[in-house]
Amino acid sequence: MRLGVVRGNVVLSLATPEIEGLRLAIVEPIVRERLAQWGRPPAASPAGGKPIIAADQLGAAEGQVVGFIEGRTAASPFWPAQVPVDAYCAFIADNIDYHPPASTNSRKGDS
Amino acid sequence: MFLARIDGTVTATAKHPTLSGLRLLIAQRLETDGGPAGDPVVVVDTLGARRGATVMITTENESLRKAAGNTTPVRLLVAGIVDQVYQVGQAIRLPLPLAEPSPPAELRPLGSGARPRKEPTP
Repeated sequence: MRLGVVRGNVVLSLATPEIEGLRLAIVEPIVRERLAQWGRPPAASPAGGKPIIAADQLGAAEGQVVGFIEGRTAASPFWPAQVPVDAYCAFIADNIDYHPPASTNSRKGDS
Repeated sequence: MFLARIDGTVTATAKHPTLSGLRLLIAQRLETDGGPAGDPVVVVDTLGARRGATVMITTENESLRKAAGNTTPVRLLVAGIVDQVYQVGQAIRLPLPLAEPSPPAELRPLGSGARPRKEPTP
């Protein structure tokens, strides 16, 4: 599960019956460097990750930070139905307490 | 399974019902040299891992599904708290100092247990 910022949502005019009516949020994953400076201005600066579309049953609003699960587990909430969903908002974060050791964020060469 | 360091915590009121009561931590996957690999992830913790602790995380969610229900949208679980890591030929330095290693067993000074030298017979 990664953290991401809700940037918008997607409305489908035609959908497979399994995901009809499902709210789909556009989520921008927060990369390590951005999470370390989270809460500091500018708040609207990019979270850094490649945006993905995640199913959302919590009603996350634009700008909120969500935890989203990817892969096969993202379809678990719809169990036992087989739903073609590969990302799902599991929670809306109220508070993030993140204090990595100072040295790890200056590291280069990793994604 | 992989090694990670606990870098923080998350609190959430609005969440999938199966997550209520579960502790959510922010973990950083580690390279073999202790550096960060990829972006921080949110994991479920039932062991009480503290910030700065090195943990082993499993991506197998069958046990979580049994505990929290089949519909739980969680996969990453703290499977253990790491004490020490060894790699062939070298000990990997953990990101934070571990508890003081126990001192080596006391060695008897050389020669102290040796047989007393035979007095030369007159």
